[in-house]
Amino acid sequence: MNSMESNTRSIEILLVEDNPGDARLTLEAMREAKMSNRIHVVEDGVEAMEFLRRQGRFGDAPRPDLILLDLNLPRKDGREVLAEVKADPDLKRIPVVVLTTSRAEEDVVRAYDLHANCYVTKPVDLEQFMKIVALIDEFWVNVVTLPGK
Amino acid sequence: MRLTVKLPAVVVGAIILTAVAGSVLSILIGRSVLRQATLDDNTHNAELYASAVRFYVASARSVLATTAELPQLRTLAGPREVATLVLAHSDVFEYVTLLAPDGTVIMQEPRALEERLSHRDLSFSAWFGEVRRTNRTVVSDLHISPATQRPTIVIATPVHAADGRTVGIWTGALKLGELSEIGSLAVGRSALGESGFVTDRRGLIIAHQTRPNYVVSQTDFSAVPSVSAALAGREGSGENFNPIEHEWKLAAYRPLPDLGWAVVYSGPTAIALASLDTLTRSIVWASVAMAALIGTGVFFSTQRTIAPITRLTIAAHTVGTGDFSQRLEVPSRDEIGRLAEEFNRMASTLAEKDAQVRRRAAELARSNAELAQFAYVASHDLQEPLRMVVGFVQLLEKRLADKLDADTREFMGFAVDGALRMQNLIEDILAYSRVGTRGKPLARVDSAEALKDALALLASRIAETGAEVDAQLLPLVMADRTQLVQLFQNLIGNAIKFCKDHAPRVRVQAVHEAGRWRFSVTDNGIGIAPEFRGHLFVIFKRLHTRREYPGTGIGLAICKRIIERHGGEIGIESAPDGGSVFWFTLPEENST
Repeated sequence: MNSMESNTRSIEILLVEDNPGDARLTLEAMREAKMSNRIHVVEDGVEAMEFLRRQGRFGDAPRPDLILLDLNLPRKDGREVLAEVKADPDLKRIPVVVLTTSRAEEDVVRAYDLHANCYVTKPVDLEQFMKIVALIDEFWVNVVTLPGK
Repeated sequence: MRLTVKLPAVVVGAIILTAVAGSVLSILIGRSVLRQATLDDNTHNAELYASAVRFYVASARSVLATTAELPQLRTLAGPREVATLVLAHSDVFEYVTLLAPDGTVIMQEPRALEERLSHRDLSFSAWFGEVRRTNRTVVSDLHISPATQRPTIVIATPVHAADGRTVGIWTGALKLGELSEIGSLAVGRSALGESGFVTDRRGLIIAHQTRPNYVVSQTDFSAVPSVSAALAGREGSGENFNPIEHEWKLAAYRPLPDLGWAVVYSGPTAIALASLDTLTRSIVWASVAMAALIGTGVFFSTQRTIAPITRLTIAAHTVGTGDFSQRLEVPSRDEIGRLAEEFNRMASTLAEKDAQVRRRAAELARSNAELAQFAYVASHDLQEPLRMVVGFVQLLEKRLADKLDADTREFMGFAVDGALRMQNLIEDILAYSRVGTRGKPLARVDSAEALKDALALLASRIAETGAEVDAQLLPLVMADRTQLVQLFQNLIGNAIKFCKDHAPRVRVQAVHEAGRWRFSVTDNGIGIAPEFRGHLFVIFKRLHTRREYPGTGIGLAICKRIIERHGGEIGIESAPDGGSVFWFTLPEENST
C-alpha cells in the first residue's frame, strides 16, 4: 500500500545549497535512488526565503514538502533561514533536514535548538553519500506522514 | 590594637608607671622624714610639758610645806587664816584642808566646800595612810574628792607642833584644770591634733590638753604603750597604737620619776602625715594631667605619622583588588615617604604588568578565536572540495564502469584514496587542536570509569583481536573526563594495534607519587626501539607503513597534548617481555 501510494505521490523538495557541485551530486544521488520528486535548488538564504514566501521571481513557486538546508550559505546563512522558517507560523510545519559538511558539535546543537527536524553530515565517499540521500528520500517521502498542504 | 591607640597607651602607661613609682618613693621618704620630724617635735613638747608639770607640782608642794611651818598651823590657832592666805596667793589649789592626826577634817577652805563634805573622816584615804606612815609630804593618786565629788589629786604634808608631835595633816587639792592648761601654756596648741596629757602612776589621766572629760571619767591609759613605757621609767618616742582611741599615734613620753607620773605628747599618725596625702594627690593629679596631655599629644602625632600608613593600607587594598591606578602623595622624605614612593613604583609596575597581561590575554583570546575559526574552516570548508574530488571521481568511475581500463581505474583509486586520506588528516588536525580549545575544566574523575568508557569504545576491536585488558584498582584524579577517555582509548588502541601474531594483553596500573598518580599501560606488542622513542609523540610521526599498520600518526600526539594540558608527563619504556609501557601522570584528586 505504502509503496503504491509513494509511487503515485510526487513531493516538492527545496534544496538550499550554494555549491553547484554539491547540488549536482545531491541531484545525481536522488536520480540514482529513482525518486520521482521535484527538486528546486536555490543558492543562498535570501533566495530560500523568497522561494518559501513566493516573492520576486519565485512568485509561483510551490510550497515544498521538505527542505534540505546547508548551513554555510552566502548572504543569509542556513541558521538564519532555519530560525525564520521555524518562527513563521505558515512555514514552521515544513520539515527541515540540515544537510551539511560540518560535523562540529556546536553546529549540531545549534541546529536542533533552532528546531531542525534532523541533522545529517555529508560523507565524503560517494557510495555513502548516495546511500544517505536515498535514506533521506525514503524516510521523508515514504515513511513519515507529512502535514497536508 | 591600632598603632594610634597603642603608642599613646604605651607612653601614658610609662608616665603613670613613673609617676606611681615616684610617688611611692616620695611617700616612703617623705613619710619617714615627716614622721621623724613629728616625733622630734613631740619629744620637745613632751619635755616642755613634763617640766611645766614638775614645776607646778613642786611649787604646790613648796606652798604647802612652807605654810605648814607657820605657827598658826602648828598651834592649830588659826588654820583658816593660813588657808585663806594660801588660796589667795597661790593659784595651784582648789581647796585646802587641815586634818586631825586621826583623819577627821578640822577645817576646809573655802568654807562653802567644807559644808558640802560628804563625810569628815578621811582616814581611809590611801594618801592619808601614807602620810601617817612616812611622816612626809605625799602626792595622792587620782581619786574622787569628798568635797567636790570630782576626781582630784591631793598633796598632803604633816604639821608638826614645836615638840615634833604630829598635830595635823595639811592638804591641798590640785587644780587639775590648771595642770591641763599649763600644758597648753608651755607648748601651745598644735594644728595637727597633737596634745599632751599626764597620768598618775596607775595610768589614769589626770590632765589632758584637749580632752578634759578623760580626767572627769578617770580614764585608764595604762594600756597605751607610751604610757606604760613612761610609767616603767623610760623616756622615748615612737609610733604606737592607742587602744583607747583606736588610732596610731606618733608619741613622745617622759616619766616624772618623783611623782611616778607619765607625760605623753602625741598626735594621730594619720593627721601628722596628712600633708603627705596632699603631696601624693598632687603628684598623682599632676601625672594624670601630664599623662593625658602627653597621651593626647602622642595620639595626634601618632595619627599624623600613621595617617600615611593608613592611606597606604587602603591604597594597597585597592591595588590588591585589582585597581592599579592607585597612587599616593609623598608628603615627607622620611621612611614613610620612601615607603609611599616604593608603593607608587610598585603600583606603576603592576599597572604596566597588568596592561601587559591584559594585552596578552586579549591576544590569546583572539588567537584562540582564530584557532576555533580555523578548526571550523578545516572541518567544513576544506572538506567540501575534497568531497567534490571524491564524489565526482567516483561518479565518473561509476558511470564509465565498462569503458575504463585497469590503469585508469587504479589511478582513479589513488586520487580517491589521496583525497580520503587528506580528509582523515584534516579531521585529525582538528581533533588535535580541539584538545586545547575544547577542553573542559579539570574535575574529580574516577579513572576506572574513564577506562571503562574507553574499553566500550574499543569493544569491537577487542573482540576482533581477542585482546585481554586488565586493570588494577584505579584512583580518583583531577581530569577532563572526555579527554581521559580519549587518552585511554588511544593508548589501549595502540597496544592492541601494534601486536603482530598473538593475542594482545594490556595491563593498566596506577601508583601514587608525590601529589600525583603515575599510570602505566603495558602491552606485549612489538615494542619500540629506543632510538625511535624521541619522535614518538610528534604529530603525524609514523614508524610503520600504512600497509603494515593503518593510521595517520596523530594518536600519541593527542595523548601528549592531553597530558600536557593536565600538567602531567607522558613517556615510554620497554616492557620486560619486549612490549611497551606507556606511562603518564595526572594530578591527584584533592589537588587543585
